[in-house]
Amino acid sequence: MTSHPFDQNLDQAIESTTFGDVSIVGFQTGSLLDESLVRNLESTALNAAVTVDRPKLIVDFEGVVHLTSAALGALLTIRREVEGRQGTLILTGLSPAIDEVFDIACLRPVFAFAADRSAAIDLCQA
Amino acid sequence: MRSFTGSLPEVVQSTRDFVLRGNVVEGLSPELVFAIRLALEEAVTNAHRHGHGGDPDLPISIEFSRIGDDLILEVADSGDGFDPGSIPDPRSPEGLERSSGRGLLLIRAFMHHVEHLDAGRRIRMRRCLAPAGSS
Repeated sequence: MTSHPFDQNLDQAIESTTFGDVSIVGFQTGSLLDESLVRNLESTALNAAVTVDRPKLIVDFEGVVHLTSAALGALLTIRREVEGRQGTLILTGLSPAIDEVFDIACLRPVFAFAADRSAAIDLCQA
Repeated sequence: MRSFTGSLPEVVQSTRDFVLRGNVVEGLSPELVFAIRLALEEAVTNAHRHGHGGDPDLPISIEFSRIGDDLILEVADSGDGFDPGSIPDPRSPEGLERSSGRGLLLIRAFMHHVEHLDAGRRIRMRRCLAPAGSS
């Protein structure tokens, strides 16, 4: 039985990895960053951020095909936590549609962005 | 028209299935599907969270139709209603830091016409599906 493209396994939709002292939160291809997955994103990212001082965190949106304003709210919460610990949060891998959501919400100046995961790691380690 | 109850994630999933698995989005570009899905989910989230205060037993009604090149999408709740003009601008300096309150902004940006009916309990959204510049 094949799954429908609008279905997703929430347990597998988010992956958390590290590169040196940088924590990277990424998503399964085709992820819908909606109310359900946003809760996983927030807890995964905050877990990575609160375990160290000056956390370096990348949220890589590669593979995300959809998000809602709930995701923006979660990212703002994550940013507050990271910046409260004098850390760095970089967003990368945004599709043009998701990019547009950040523009509409006027959140581009609020977050730091990188062109790809490699550039985001460089920014974190600068 | 169909009505849905349940937790917010359940209702979002059910309404997404109802609208997007029908033939209404067949053949549309990924950008249009993105816009429709976003508007739908923001409206449903507002109805559930604000209209019903998160009560999973209150029904949220969804209605959609294609009229010519237009998709008309309506989401209704049975709450107290609200004044759309009272919603603070999330793009203001104080609004930028808030974790919520961007749903209506995104709906208005991704849909071509938005009306609030029945004292704010019903939102009607229209999106032209024809490519820009086509006759």
